Amino acid sequence: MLKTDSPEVIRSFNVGLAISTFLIVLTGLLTLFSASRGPGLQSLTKLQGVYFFAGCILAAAIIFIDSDFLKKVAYPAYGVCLGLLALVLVVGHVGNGSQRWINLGFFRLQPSEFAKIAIILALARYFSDEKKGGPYSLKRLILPALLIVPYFVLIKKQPDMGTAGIVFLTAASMILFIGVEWKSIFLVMMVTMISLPLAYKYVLHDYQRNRVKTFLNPMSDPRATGYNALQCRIAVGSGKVLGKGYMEGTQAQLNFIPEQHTDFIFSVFAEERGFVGALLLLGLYASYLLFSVRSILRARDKFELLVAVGLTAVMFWHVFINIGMVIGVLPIVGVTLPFFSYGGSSMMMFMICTALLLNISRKRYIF
Amino acid sequence: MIGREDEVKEYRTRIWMFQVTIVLGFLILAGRLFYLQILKGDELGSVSEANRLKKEKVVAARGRIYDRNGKVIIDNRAAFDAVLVSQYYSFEDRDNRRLASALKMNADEFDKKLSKINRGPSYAPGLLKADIGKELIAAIETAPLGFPGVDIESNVQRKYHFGEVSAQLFGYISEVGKKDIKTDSRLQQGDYIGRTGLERFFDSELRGNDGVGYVEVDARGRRRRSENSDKILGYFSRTEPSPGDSLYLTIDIDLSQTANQSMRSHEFNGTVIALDPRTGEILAMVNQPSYDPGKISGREVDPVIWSRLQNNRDRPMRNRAIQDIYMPGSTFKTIVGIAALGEGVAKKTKGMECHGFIKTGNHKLNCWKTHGWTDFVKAIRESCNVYFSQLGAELGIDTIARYARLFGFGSATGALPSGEQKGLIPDSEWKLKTLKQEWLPGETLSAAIGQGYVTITPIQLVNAYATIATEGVRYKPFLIRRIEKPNGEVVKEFKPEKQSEIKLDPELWKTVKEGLFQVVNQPGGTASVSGRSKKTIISGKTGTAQVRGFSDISKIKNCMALPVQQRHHGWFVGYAPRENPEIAVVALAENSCHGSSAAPIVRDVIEAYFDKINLEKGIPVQEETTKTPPNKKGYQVPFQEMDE
Repeated sequence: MLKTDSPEVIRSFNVGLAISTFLIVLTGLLTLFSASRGPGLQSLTKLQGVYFFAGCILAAAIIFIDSDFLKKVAYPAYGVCLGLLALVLVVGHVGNGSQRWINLGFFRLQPSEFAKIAIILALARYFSDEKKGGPYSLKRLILPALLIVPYFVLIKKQPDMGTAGIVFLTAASMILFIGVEWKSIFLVMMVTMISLPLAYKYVLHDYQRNRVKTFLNPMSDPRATGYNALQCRIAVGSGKVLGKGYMEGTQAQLNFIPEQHTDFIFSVFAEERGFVGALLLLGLYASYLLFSVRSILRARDKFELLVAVGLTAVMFWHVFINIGMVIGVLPIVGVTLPFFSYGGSSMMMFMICTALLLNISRKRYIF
Repeated sequence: MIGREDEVKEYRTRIWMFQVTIVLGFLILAGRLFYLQILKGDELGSVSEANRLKKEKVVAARGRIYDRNGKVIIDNRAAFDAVLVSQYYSFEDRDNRRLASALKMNADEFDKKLSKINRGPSYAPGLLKADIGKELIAAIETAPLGFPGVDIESNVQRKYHFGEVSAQLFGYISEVGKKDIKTDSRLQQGDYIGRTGLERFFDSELRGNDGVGYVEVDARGRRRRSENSDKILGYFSRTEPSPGDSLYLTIDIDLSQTANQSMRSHEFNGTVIALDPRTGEILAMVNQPSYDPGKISGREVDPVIWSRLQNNRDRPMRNRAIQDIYMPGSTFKTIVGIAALGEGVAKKTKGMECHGFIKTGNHKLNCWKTHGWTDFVKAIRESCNVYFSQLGAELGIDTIARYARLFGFGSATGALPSGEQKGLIPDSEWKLKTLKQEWLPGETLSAAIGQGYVTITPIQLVNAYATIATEGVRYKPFLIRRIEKPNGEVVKEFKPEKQSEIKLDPELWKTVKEGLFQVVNQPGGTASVSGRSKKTIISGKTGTAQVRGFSDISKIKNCMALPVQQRHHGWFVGYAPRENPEIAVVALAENSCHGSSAAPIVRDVIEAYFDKINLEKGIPVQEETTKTPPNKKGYQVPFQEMDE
């Protein structure tokens, strides 16, 4: 798998990753068009296209950034993001019951999206500076934990359980990859199992508890909390093998699917394209992830490697949790589907992820 | 730089962690998709169909009601209601004000409606305002900011073309309540059923069978507006409703209007019935006061209108023609006269002296006038109490009762399936049975002049005089000629039904009819001014029914001095023309004191009947109608018309 012969940019360019990205974005825009035919939503596809275009420009710049520079800005970026996360709680724009956005006039910035990248960079920087390496004991993980906790707390406070969860899972994936003592893993698992019921009772909000409840029993209240989960499942299932056809999904077109242009957009696609289409889309995401694994392999130092690991993880968790909640293997949490869900910050964030992955895979043996 | 290769080398061997996680994760997702889309696909597919397709009742049009000439009396019209789905409505003050003003509702009324809607399920449309006009619909649909949650629902409402005319006979309809659904399982919420009159009696014929349609709705339950022309109505599939059957009545609605108008212009409460003596077909049956059934047959009934109707002491919803009993007063004398002639107690040429009163034992009965020498025809003409009481005494109550029953008194005529009163024809057996007392001879004196225990319904009275008009052939009065399916197929046809034939000497009929003729057409007749027509010859009889007790009979002359509620009812019942009568009419003018008050109403109806026939035959209508000044409650009746 390793190409050691050529320093050429083009030949070492992770073409598969780029192609996967373009195919996913294209499918995503088409699906978004179908999902946003309702009143007041028709302009969303165009806007999403603009965000993608802006993301491309941003990505083109990022591809050529030197990784040493990234390493240098890792902590400052972490600090800026932390500031924004704090700021959003003060001046943030409120929507759908949470305070997630900073209104810039032309654009509503969602700092928590960029926080995902910032935490990856910061952790990568921390662990690459740590010369001793793994496996880590719990004691040695206290410092990196101190990096994660403020982000987690601030995001949870918005509240945005989905993003907080993604930050946690991404960081955990990176730490696990680096290596943790078995003893410590066992200990954490024990503590988690004990504290989970307590957390359910005291940490979660009412609406979050309801989501868990309806996940376990969606028919418990089909008109209220369970409605979204149920309608999504009906949409996906009624797509059957080949789907109802593009823009013919009745669940979507008649607005039975809530938030169908953002978190639940996968159900729109699955209803229209059926099992075959859904499998193909899963295949696209899988290929994106497997190509991004190739970037991990091409990393030339520990920092780059850990960044690639984090980016792959963030991508995986997004796809898995989003589709998982839509089709009912996970409770409903607000997690977007990369390149599909409408949202400028989200689109930018995933374009940056892709660009960083392309950057890392590009630079092998460039001197 | 190569040196950094070492620090990543060992990690590369861990890449399997990623590959395994990714593959496992995606396998879980794919497995779940397989379960939902392949294994559960059909089931969830039908759930999704049920989601988008809402079963809707396709309301069957209620059958029409036509008059004898095919004129539509009652049919249906489209109506539009403003409804609100509360879960999509803001309930903000600003929107409330906007919406209330768009619907032209005052704040109180609007708030009441809102809180009522709020008590119902949030997804079900609740009624804001029923039967709104085009302007309000436009105000709602073109409002610049729109009204989220507000929808216009269409439905069908009953249209009563002639309003209050015969309202008690035709009846009204209303939406079913929980009670109705309990008693009749075929009824569903939103159905309308007839509550009174023909609407009720023929409800199952009129109602028809609703169809079922499927409309595509969005998540809000609103009909999707489709561009496809084949879905204009929004129905994906439907079973057609079968409209209700139509009723073709014997009623002549023009004549009914005349009767109603005449009652109104004379300002009396009461009833008018006209029928064809040759067939028993009821041509008109009106009551005053009346009401507009259209006002209480809609989806929303104004509680003020409703309570006014319910609490009105004059009972505007009562069909007096069949539902109320009255004393027949002097109109009963004709029956007693026929009995006397039939039994040989009286003869045309035989007479007697009226001294102004008659005594039996300690029972004294006054005549309204001292008639002097009185023969049969004069006794009828001038309505002599003494003469008929004397005949009555000679006949005995049981014979009077037997003759009265021959003319249909004492039992329901069957004009309507139910709700009809029977009245009472007393006899000695009846009194012994119900009051456990012997019949007193003095009571016969009162019974013979239609007082005392004798009670009748207006329909019985007109039918009895129709039987006199036909010289003994009694038909069952009826209202429905035929019931027709919407396609014209006749479901049921009703033919004149001869109930009995009273076989008496033709000379007897001639004598009786001569008396009735003279009542109207001979000076001294009790209706010779009030009932006489220049267009046709009316024969008939006046009567006064007491409202107060038996003992007040001596106060009759001071009737106008009594409070209105206690004044006597005036009867006039008659037929025309003199030979081969075509129409018999009764009018009851409540609290009018005199039968002569009712006579002009009967005359108006009879003249309208012949005017219409002449018009149809091409004979120009005589412009000069017989006019008496409207006999209002203060009008002084000429002395010779004073009855009793």
